[in-house]
Amino acid sequence: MDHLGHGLALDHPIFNSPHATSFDHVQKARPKQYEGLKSPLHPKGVPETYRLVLFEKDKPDGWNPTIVSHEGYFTDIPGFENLAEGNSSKMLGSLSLARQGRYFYWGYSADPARLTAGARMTLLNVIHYMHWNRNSLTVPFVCRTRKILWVYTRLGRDTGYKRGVEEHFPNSLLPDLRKTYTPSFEGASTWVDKYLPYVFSGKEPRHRNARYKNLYEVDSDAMALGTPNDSRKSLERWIRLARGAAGEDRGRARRCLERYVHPDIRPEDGDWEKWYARQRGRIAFIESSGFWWQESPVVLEREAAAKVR
Amino acid sequence: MNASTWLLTLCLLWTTAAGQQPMEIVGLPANAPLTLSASASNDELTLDVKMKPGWHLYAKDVGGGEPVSVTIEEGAAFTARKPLVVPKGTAGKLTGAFRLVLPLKRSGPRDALKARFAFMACDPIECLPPMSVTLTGSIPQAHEQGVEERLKVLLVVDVADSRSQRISDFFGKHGLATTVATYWEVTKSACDASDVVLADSKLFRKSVKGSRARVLAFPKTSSPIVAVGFLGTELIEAHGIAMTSGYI
Repeated sequence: MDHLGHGLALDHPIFNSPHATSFDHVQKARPKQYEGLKSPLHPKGVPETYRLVLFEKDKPDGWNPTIVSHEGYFTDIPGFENLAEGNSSKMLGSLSLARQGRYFYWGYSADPARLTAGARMTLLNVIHYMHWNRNSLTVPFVCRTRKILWVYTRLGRDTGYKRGVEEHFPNSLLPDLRKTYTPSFEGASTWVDKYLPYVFSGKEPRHRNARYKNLYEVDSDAMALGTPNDSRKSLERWIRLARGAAGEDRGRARRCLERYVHPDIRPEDGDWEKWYARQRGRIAFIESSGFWWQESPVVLEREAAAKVR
Repeated sequence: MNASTWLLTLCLLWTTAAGQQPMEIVGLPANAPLTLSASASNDELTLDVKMKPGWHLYAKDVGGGEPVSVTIEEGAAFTARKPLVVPKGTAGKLTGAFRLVLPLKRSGPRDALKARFAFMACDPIECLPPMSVTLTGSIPQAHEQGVEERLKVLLVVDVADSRSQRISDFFGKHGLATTVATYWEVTKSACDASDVVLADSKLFRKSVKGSRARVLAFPKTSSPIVAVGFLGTELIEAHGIAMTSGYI
């Protein structure tokens, strides 16, 4: 990434309080690799020409790293804030400004001599904003989300870079699954269309991998039930099936509940319906913490604040 | 000027002097046997209640009806600093004119205050169903510059040099109290004692040799961290935060 940014969340306090901010900008044609894509900060995609603002006065003598969030890697973490994208040559969705819990990522220089006036004021606002976030909660990182498999279906499609679909994608799967995969862009897309809603990771030793951090498995139970593992409707169906008549589906549903409901919040008495009535507004499905239905950090923050009352 | 105009003028003067902002009241049922006004400052939310003759609310649970409560709603930039201050009343009953005060603490940068006042009104014979009203208002930050002046920033760098001096000078010019430490010197207690830690980074491979190893051992502080650039991504990853997991 260079000195530019786009997709700024301009109504956020970091661009408004306590200092007003304004940025010079350049108009550019949409890069080919952004075509047809959306991101949390570009929910309708990028128009044919779009505006990039200057965070630094000129191109740095090197590169600034971005947080890769293609089409929302982290949007399933309650409270995560996408605040600006960097000018990435890879794909849309590379964050230059972002907050998760007590951590803020500033993807540009912090040297006021390099920053534009708008960026300098934004940096001050970030300091101000973050001091309010001392008690912000988030979840620990356990594994990469499944989104990376989708990214491989797009990354390099227009530039001829094939290592993603030929090497990284298959080697991110458990060995048995690799025979279901054809190492090409088309093969990757076909695999993703069929299996992605049922992919999980981060739970067993077999999911750990030194090279790729984690390997992905396909949940045959969730797939047989036609229940994407991150959907609330699926959770509610598993709960209904789990108390139903004995049979294959009940077994599958019970295994799914055990697999995806975090041990810290499972019902001790096995009464999933009562449990869900109590927890439905408190829980969220989060992939990067290990593909769990778990207490939302935003809810925990709110409850902690309420204890003062 | 008649008596009511004098009273209004007096109220306005008091509101301005105390930094109180009027709160909008929504949802008070027409049959509620009381009148209500509310205002708030950065420190407290004040409700002035006047009961119709013969009616009362409950200050505490005496077995007759729900006691009064005021709770902050989601989306507000405030939390309650202490429990609601309620007059004792007579045998737990609140009659006539009385004031409820909720001590507040600002918890966010925005100005919105939204609260719910819940109560049950009774006369000697019967109680009306529980009622609640929503109070909304906008409370500007008091002495905005003063808040910023109090902020203590710990600037952590690979080496104290002209760059760190520029950052420190810039923050100082804008009222931030900045202390500089290197990645070799920084301690958890110094981080914890700061309002915000800014972990700086030069461009990739341009920081002092050995910086990355020090960043990987960065103290797990309870203070918020603004993590900059390359070393920032390493720090966030070392602290087990998901947002740097997306590298390809």
